[in-house]
Amino acid sequence: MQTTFHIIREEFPSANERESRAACVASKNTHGAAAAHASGIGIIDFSRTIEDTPSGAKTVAVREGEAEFRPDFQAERITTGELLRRMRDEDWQQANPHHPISYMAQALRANHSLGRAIAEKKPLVSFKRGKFQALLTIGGDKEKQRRLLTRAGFTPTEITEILSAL
Amino acid sequence: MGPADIGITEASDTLVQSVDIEQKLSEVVRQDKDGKFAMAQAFDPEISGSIKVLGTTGDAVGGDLVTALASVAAGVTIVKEKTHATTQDNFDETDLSFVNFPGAS
Repeated sequence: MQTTFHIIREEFPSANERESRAACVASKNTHGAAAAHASGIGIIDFSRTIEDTPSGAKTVAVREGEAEFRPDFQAERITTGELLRRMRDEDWQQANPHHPISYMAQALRANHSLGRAIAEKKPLVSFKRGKFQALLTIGGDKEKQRRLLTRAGFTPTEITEILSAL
Repeated sequence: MGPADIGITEASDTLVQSVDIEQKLSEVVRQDKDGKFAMAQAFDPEISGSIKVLGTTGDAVGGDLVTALASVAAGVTIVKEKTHATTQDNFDETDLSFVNFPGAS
């Protein structure tokens, strides 16, 4: 079994969770992963983590693959109205899948979809103890989290404090 | 038309138990214009390693294993082997061995 993928990890050192989340969504690497998705290359998963330093990080994993581009269109000049019409006309895009307007439309849709998913997915909160790193979900199963934190060597008092903060 | 919307998978609690990595650097020894050896240049770093991740739910390659891997293996990563077992105390334990090329694109 061998799987190859690209792990893109970015850190967003902001004390403000909302700012950090917005930066995750706006990052060029998010755009890149969305473009891969629009090109038929799968996104394996993505996550955000809240850490002490920096305050936030984002990971997106994209499967290794190949994207094929076959531009197939005549040079043309079109009006603003026609550009706007084609951008919202999915039937036109389906009939002209290799036109730059179709590429733009798909990439923008994928970017919006990925950005929304990153913003809405609950982040993991990181707690380190020696060689262990616990990545815990906000609002997760407290009993399971207690077991993991115990395995990592946190004291009962520390565990109670951590779980009450999640 | 186009790819499907990107859905949200549930994050799952994860404990990174151990990480073992070994970094290799290819080196080139250059000669300067006088034929003397110049400073060696290190490039194409390659990290071989393994990571042991404990979870409370089953997982495939992906999921929060990727988050666990990302702290040591961002870049192009080849997961070479993955074993998955349930421990006696009822955790899901996953061992991954990987090769990582942090500078590759």
